Amino acid sequence: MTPDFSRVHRFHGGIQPPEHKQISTTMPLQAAALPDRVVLPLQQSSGLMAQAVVSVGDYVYRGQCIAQVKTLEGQSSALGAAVHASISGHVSELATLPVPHPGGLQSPCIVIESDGLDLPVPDHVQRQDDWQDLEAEQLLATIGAAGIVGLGGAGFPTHTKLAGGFAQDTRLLLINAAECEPYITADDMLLRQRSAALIEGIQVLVHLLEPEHVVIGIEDNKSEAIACLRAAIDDDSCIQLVVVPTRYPSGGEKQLIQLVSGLEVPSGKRPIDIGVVCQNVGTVVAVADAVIRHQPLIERVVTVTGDALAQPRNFYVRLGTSIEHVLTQAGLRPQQLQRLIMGGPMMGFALTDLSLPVVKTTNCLLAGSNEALGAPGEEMPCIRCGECEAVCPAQLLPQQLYWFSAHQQYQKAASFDLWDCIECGACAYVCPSDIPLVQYYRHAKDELRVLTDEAQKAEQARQRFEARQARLTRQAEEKAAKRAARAAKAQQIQSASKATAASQPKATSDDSLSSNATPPLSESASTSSISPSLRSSQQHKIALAAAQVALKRADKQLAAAKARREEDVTALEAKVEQAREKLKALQNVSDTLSDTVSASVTPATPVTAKASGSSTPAVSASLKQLKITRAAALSAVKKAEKGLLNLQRATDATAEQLDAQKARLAGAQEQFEAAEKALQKAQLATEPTQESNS
Amino acid sequence: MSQTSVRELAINGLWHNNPALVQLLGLCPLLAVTGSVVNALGLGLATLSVLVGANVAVSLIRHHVPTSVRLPAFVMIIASFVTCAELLMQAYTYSLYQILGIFIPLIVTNCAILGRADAFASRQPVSAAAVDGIMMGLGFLAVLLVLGAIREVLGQGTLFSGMALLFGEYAKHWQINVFADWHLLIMILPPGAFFTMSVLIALKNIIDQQLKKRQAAVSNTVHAQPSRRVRVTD
Amino acid sequence: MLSLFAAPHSHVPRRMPQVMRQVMFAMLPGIIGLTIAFGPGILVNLLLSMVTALLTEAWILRLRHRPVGKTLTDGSAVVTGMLLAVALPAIAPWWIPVLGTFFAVAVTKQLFGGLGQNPFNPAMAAYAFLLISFPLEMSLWPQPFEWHIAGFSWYETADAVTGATPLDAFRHKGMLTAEEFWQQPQLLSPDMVLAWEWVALGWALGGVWLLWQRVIHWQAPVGMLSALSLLAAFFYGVDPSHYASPWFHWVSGATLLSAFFIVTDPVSGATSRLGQCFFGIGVGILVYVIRTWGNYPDAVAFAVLLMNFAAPTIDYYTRPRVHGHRKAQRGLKQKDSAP
Repeated sequence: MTPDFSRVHRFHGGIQPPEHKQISTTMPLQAAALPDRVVLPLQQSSGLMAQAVVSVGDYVYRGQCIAQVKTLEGQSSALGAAVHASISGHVSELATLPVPHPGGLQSPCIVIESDGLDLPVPDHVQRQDDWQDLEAEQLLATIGAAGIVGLGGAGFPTHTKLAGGFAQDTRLLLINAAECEPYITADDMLLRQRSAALIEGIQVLVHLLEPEHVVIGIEDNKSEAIACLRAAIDDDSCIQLVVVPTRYPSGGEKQLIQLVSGLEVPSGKRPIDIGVVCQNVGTVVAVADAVIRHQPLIERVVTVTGDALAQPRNFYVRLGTSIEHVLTQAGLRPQQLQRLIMGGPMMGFALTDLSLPVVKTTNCLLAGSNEALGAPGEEMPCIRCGECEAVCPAQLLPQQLYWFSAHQQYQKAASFDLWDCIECGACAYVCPSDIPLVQYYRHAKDELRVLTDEAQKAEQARQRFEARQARLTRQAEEKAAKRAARAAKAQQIQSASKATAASQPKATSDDSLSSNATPPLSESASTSSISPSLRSSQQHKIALAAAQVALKRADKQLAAAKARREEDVTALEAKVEQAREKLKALQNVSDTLSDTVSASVTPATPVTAKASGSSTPAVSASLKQLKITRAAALSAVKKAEKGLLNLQRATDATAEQLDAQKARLAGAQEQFEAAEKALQKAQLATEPTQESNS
Repeated sequence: MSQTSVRELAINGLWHNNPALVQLLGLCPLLAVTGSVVNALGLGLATLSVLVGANVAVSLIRHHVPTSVRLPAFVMIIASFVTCAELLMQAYTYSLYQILGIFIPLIVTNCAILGRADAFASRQPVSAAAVDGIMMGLGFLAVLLVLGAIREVLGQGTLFSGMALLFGEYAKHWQINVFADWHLLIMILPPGAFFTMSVLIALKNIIDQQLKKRQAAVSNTVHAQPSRRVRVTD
Repeated sequence: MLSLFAAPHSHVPRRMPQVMRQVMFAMLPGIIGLTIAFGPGILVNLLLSMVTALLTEAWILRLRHRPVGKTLTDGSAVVTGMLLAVALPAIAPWWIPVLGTFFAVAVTKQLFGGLGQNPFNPAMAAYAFLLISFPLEMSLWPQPFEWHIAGFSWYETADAVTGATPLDAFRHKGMLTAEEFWQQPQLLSPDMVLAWEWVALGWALGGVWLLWQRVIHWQAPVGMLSALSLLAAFFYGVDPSHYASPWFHWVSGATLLSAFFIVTDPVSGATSRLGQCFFGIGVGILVYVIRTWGNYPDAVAFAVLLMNFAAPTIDYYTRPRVHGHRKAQRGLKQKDSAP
C-alpha cells in the first residue's frame, strides 16, 4: 500500500469529549521546585527491569546512571531502559515500594535523598554538535544509555524502536504531536517552548533512519504550538506539518498513521512492519537532549490539572518527585480532591496514594472532584443501541465483544478481533447503559493469555512425552537388534564348527554305554543332528551316572537293612559290590573320553536316575530333569564359547587347539539343542518317557 | 407382578415421565387437536388404545424379532392398531373422525408410542408392558384433556361442547357455558396451544420443586447428615 | 479518601433513562393528534398500559429475584406500554390494553431475559397477539372529531359511531376502482382521512425531533419509508385504479409511527448502521406486500416481527471490516478461534 500524503484522511468513529485544555495553558511551562527526595522505580518501561548499579549510601550526581538492564545469557541486547538519578544526593534506600500502577503493585525502587546542590556529573560533556559523524550504532547506544522511553504513555524503549527502524526501510517518520486526550497539554506547552529542540531531534532521527517522508501530526486545537512549529520548520523543508481535526483518539499510533497517510497497520503487526516509525514529541526532544546535550532522561513535562487545583499548569518535573510535591506547587485544594488520575480521563488510571512518584510515562496528573470527573453510574443491561460500534476507531463490534466477554466465551471474542482493540475507551464513553466495556475487554484478554499459556505448556509436555516414548522404543529396538545379531552370530559359529566336528574321530564303543541309554534322550538324540561320537559320549555319561546312583542305592539299602538288623544282608552286599565295580569300569572309560566332551556336567544323571526306576512320579520329575538337562547344556555351551574366546585371544594357541575347542563348542551346542528338544517334546507329550530299567 | 412396580409404572407414566409434559413427545397432535375437550378426548382415547395394544403386541413378540429390524416391525404393529382404531372411529363416531382428520393416522408417527415400544415394551414381560402402556396413555390423555379444557374455556367460553360427537345425543346436555359471548381467538389457534402448554409444564415444574423442598425438609429433620469422610477405615 | 474507578473517567451526559424520557417526549405530538381526532379514549388506553406495564414488570422481577426499583426506573417498560397504547383503537375496551401490555412485558420481554434480551419488538408482538385474538375489537375506530357528541364510556365499547380505518376501507372496496372509492364518502369519510393525516404529522414531528437529538438514526426510518414509497409508487404508476398511492400509505395506519418509533427499537433491530438500513428496507417491503395482498389491513406489526427474525442474520452479513484487516468477515460461517 502506498501512503498518500496529499490530504488528511479519516478514521472511523471517534468522539469529541469536552477538552478542558485551556485551564492548564494559561501559565508558562516552568521547572517545578526540586524535591527533597526522589523515588525511582527500576521498572519504568516495557521489557526487563533495570538492575541497580549503586548501593545504599553511595553519592550520586544528577544524570548519573544508577540502574542498567542486564542482558540475558546468549542475547546480545535486552529490552528495557536504564534509570538515571534525577537529583544529586545520597542513595538512601534500595527497597520495594508502591509505584504508580493500576493494580497498586509494589516494585523495587532506588530512593535518593537530595543534598540540595543538584550537581551534574563531573567532567560532563556539555554539548556535542558533531553528532552527525557518529555511527548509527553509537547513536543508538547513546539514546539507549540515556534511558529514553516513549513519553507519550506507552514507555517502549526508544533505542529498540529506532534500532528496528534502522534495520528496515523506513518510509515514514511520524512525530505524534496530536495529544488527543482531554485535559493534557504537556506536548502543547513543550512545543511552544522547545520547537527548535524538536527539529534537532527530528534531524537526529532522520540521520539515523533515513526515512522517505517526515510528518508531524498535530490536532487543530493547538494553534499556538502550530505557529511555533511552522516557524521552526521553515528552514527544514523536508518536514511536513499535517494538522488533523480534533477528535479522540487521533493521537493513537494506528489512527494517526491512518490520518496522515491513509495506511492501516495490519492486524497483529507493528507500524515498523509497514515502514513507519512513530515517536511522541517529548521523546524526540529527549533524544535531541541526549545526543546533542548529553542529558539523560531525568525530567519530563507533566500537565498538572483538574478542578482541585488552584493553578493548573505544566511543569518540568524531575522523575521520582512525589505527586504530592507536584500538586502542592499547583495549588492543591485537598478538600476538593476526590479523584487522582495519572494520565488522561479516557485512558488514565486512578491512584489513591499521593506519595507515589512521577515516572517516565506520567504525562498528566488529573486531580479533580467527583462532580467534575463524574462517577460512573450503575451498569445496566445492554440495549444494543450500536453507539459503541459507531465510535470505535478500530471498527470493531464492541457490543459483540461485550456479550462474549461477559459470558466467558473468550475464544469467540478473539474471533471477533478482540486483540485489535486499542482500549481507547470511546465505546465506554458513549454507552448509555454505563457498561464498563474496556474492563470487560481487558479481562477477556487476560483470560486468553492464561489460556494460551496453558496451551503452550500442555504442548510442551506433550512433546516431551512423545520424545520419551520415542526414546524408549528406540532403546527397545536396539536391544532386540543386538539380541538378534548375537543369535545370528552364534548360529554362524555353530554351523562353522559343525563342519569341523564332522571330521573328528569317533569315540570308543557304544555297546558298553548303550545299556543305560534312556529312551527320551536317545530319541531326542536321534532326531537331532548329533555326531555318533557325541552320542556315544552322552551315553557313556548316562551310564556313569546310572552306575553311581545304583551304587548309592545299594549302599542305602544295605544300611537300612543293617539298621533293621536283618540277617540276610549278603544279597545286598553283593549288589553293592557289583555297583561299585561297574562304576569303576565306566570311570575308566570316561577318562579316555574326557577330551572329546570336556566340560559337560552330565545332565543325564537325573534322567538316568529316573530311568533306573526311581519311585518319583514319572511325568513331572522327567520334565524337571529335562529342564535341568537343558540348563546344564546351556552352561556347557557358554563355557565352551568362553574357552574358545580365550584361546582365540591367546597368542600361542595352535590351530589344532582352536579346532578342538571349536569342536567342543559345537558338541556342547548340539547337546543343548538336544536337551531343548527333549524338554519340548516332554512338555507336549502326555506320557513322555518309557522307563527303562537299569 | 408386584404391587410396587405397578405403582412405580403408574407414577412414572402419569407424572415423572409423562409423555407430553416431560418427554415432550407427540406434541404435534397434542397441540393441533386440543381445541376442545371432545377432540382431545377422542384422540386421547385412540392413542391410549393404540399404545396399550402396541405395547402388549411388541412385548409378546419381543424375543422373536431380530434387533436390526425391530423398529420397522414395531411400526407395522402400531400401524395395524391405528388402522383398527381409525376404522372403529369411522364406524361409530364419524363426525369426530372427520374433525380429527389426518391426526388419527398420524398416531402412527407419535413418538410416544414408538419410543415406549422400543424402550420399554420390547424388554419387559407382557403384564409390565400392558400396565406401562395404560399409564403412559392415561398420562397423555390427562394432558390432552387439561389442555383441551383450558383452550376451550378460554377460547370459546364453553366446556364439553360437542360431546355428542363421542357419546351420543344425550351428551348434548353436558355443555357448560362458562363465559357468555366470549372469544379469545388466539387460544384456539396454535400460538395459544403453545402458551398453554408452556404454562402447564411450568406448573408441573413448580409442583415438583415444592415436593422436593418438602421432602428435603422432612428427610433433614429425620435423618442425620451422612458422613462425608472420604476414607473410612473400619 | 480518593475514589478508585476505572477508565474512562468521563462519559457522555445522556444515559438510558434519559433516552427513554426523550422517546416519551417525542411521542407527545402524535398523542395530541390522536386525542384531538379520536377522543380521550387514547389517554385512557395510555394510562392503563403504563400502569399495567409497571405492575407486570415489578411482578416478574420479583419472581426472578431481580432488583425491582432500579429496573423499573429505566423507563423501558413504560415506553413499551405507550407504544402499544397508541396503536390500539381509541374505543377498545379496558381489558385490551391491559391484556396486551401484560403480554408485551411479561411474555415478549421478561420471559426472554429482560431489557436488551428480547428478540422481538414487545409492542408489535402484543399488537399481533391482540389482533389475532380479538379481531373485532381491534378494528373498530370511532368516527373522528365527533367523539364528544357520541358519548364516551370508560370501560366498554362505546355506542359511538364507529368506522373503519382508511386502510381497512380501502381494502374492502371490492369491485370499485380507486377513483370511485374516493368519491363515496360513506365508505370512507374525508374526516377520517384528515384525522389520520394529522396523526401522521404528529408522529413525523416527534420522529424528526428524535433524529435531531440523535436518539435514533436515520438509516432505518429512511430505509423503510423509501422502500414503501418506491413499491407503492411503482404499483400505483402501473395501475392507479387498484393500488393506493404512496401518500395514502404514508398517512394511513401506523406507517410513520413505526418508521420513527418501532423500527428504530435498538434491542430487536439490527445493530450496525448498514444493518439498520436493510432492516428498514425489509420492513417497508413487507408492509406494502401484506397491506396489498395479505389478509390484514395494517401490516406493520407482522412486517416488523418478520424482520425481527431476520435481524441476527442481517448482523452477520453486515459485520464491518476491522482496522488492519483486508476484508470483513461476513456470512453465517464465522471463524471460531483467534487468528
